[in-house]
Amino acid sequence: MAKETVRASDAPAQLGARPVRRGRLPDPLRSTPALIVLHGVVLILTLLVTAVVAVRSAGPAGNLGERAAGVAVTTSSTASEIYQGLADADVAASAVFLLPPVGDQHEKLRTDYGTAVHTVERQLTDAMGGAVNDPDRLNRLAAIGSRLTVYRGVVCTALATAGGDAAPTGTDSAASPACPAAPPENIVAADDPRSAARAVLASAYAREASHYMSTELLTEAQRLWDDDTRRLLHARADARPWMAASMLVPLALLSALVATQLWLRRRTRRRLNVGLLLASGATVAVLAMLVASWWHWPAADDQFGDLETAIAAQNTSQQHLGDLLAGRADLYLALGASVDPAAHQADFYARGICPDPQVLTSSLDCPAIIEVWTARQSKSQDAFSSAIRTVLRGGSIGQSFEEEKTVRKAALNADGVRADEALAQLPAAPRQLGGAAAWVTLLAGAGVVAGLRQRYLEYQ
Amino acid sequence: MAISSTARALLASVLLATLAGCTPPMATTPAPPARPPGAQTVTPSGEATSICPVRRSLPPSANPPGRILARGDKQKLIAGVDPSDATMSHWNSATQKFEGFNIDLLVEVARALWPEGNPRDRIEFRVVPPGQGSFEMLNRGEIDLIATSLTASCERAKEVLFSNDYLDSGQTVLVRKRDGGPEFAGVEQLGGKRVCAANNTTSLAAIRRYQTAGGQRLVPVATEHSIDCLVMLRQGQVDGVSTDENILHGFAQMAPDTMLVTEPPRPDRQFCTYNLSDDCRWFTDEPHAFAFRLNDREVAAFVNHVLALPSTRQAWLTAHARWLAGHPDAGRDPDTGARTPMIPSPGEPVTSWPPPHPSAAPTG
Repeated sequence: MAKETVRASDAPAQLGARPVRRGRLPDPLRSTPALIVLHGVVLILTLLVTAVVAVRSAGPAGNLGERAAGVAVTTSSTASEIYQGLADADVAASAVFLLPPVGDQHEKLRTDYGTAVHTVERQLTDAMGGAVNDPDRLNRLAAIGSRLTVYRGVVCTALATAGGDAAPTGTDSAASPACPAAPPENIVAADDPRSAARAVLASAYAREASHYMSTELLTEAQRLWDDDTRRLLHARADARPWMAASMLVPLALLSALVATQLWLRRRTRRRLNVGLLLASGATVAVLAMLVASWWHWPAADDQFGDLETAIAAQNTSQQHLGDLLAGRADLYLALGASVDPAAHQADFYARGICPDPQVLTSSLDCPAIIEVWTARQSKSQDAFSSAIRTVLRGGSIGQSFEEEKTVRKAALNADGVRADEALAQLPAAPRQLGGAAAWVTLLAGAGVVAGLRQRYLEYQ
Repeated sequence: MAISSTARALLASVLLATLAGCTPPMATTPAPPARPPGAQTVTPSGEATSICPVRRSLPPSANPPGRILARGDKQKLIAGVDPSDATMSHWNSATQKFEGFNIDLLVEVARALWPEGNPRDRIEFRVVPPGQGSFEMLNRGEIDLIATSLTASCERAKEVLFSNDYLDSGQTVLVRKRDGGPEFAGVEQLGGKRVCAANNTTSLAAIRRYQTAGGQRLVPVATEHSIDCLVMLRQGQVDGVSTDENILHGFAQMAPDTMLVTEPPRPDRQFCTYNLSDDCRWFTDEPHAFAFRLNDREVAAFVNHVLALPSTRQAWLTAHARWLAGHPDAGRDPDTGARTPMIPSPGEPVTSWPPPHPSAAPTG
């Protein structure tokens, strides 16, 4: 049996003679058996933390992979479609009030509105179907749906007030018209003296509807987009601390095991403790398994930056497209019977669609638009009808809006493609070994307990 | 302590629901209602004093205003109008014209200035905000005159020059129709209720200071345009719309589910000097006039001259019959002295009249 060296601190008789120094452990706890127990407790706690980190980091490590990013990009694309659908519906609704509520052209504008509303409703329904397991997203989509109902109600009241002759219908959903049919007593002929007065009230409703679209619906749709992209950012942000913990905690455990081994050897003048050696080996294995689980991190972290940039660009492009559509609605409202054309004009230019009203943008005929603002005020008799012809889809300004929309949509799609490419570059999350690592940690724990127990018993 | 079987069952069901991963039902907040932009409740304020009306302006002058005729080939009259007035001025997309009582009078002014050709071709309309909101555009020189339903008051006369009074009206209230009658019989029943008027108008000032016989104040709601009040009334967001009766007549035409109150205000708040009807419901005095920049005396005097022309008096009667049928304003027949719907004769001057000399007036 090896010679035991009992230190002075282990002798109770000597202990009593020495004053206890402040900041040191009380003497009974400074005995070797007590210190062995203390080391054991610290090691077991560190092992527990390691096991928890190994198990819990598997989620963030997996989320960082392609699957989570893919979901986020898909959902944010849906949010983008809903945003565009709403803006399109607003343009269509504003256009309806450009003309008296009679004639084929007016009927076509109403049908366009019905189609636009049905399109966005279908997008919403599809998105809600895909979000059944995501209460937050479902809530957000439900909020958009309820606001859309309010918006539709205001537009329907406007149409009923204007006294049109038929309810607008969606091209593929005639069974569910965007508005209920107007009651017969509400239908007024174009030459009825009441029709002009009613058109004024109808335009006030249209102005209110457009305001609601800007302040409530589009804002809510933007929040949906923000939520979706925030998930992507959160996936990356959530992963960082878990990745750091997955590396640092096992390293700390290994350091503690080595330190305990050295302390024990120095304290007891014994050979290496086999239990601690086994635990150290198991910890190295745990570290290796966690490194393998996070092997994709550097590449993913790098590619996530590109993906975020692409999504931010997509967001900007969407804002540009939304501004264009909202600006078109401003133009229609100002030219129609709105009571506040000056405010619509100010809103239009505040959106930055025509930074310089006198200069053409890539496609939009900004100089021609200047004439439209004053068409309802001009002394020229045909200025208004001429302006109507130019701003509608077939007219020169309407055409330039369509071209600009195509340009901005192309930019949005290009950003979408860039996001898809960045997504494709994301490495797939490797097989997660966190669960297995937790079992190995248990093995290390057994080694620690066995090794320290042996030394402890020797001291007993 | 023993746990009752009900409590145990409840506990078990909660535990089961938790284990089964049940989540509480989604608490979706209802969508906010749509409201016209800029609508807001304002606080009642002010003393219960009526406005100081202006009924007489500069003496008429047949000299055409040189400032407008100096515009060469592009001679035109630029008029600021409110397009939300079904009776006074509104846009008719079917005829593609501005129409209304004020527009017909403006046509007479243009006809007097340019006897040749179509007088409508000489008028350019600019949409202006209601009330004194339009004064800024006038003083910036963007328009030559304001032809909205503008009340000529002494306070406003410090900022703009008025024409002679061309229509008398008074403020009353439009409410929802219930079972063929008004939801609220009169303004006295609207104490503590939401009553709406446009910003920067004498109508808003009047409802802010109105107090019922019981001492209750109205709850004033301000909007950017009077028509927004009608929208809010129909949406149940206000209980009444209060402005000049000539405007409310148009609103009642637009919305058959609304009607004017039928009961008069209490006697000490009633103002019926210029009201022909037996059941006068006016609680303010609202002389209507065109407004010009303070230094535009030439244009104001010429418009006064036009208003006094026999042809204009005839046009006034035709326009009144077309746009303001049933409006109980009372003129005085110059031959018989009888009270009848007729363009008002210039009334008594008021203390702040005549306006300051042009040299003392701010230039626009």
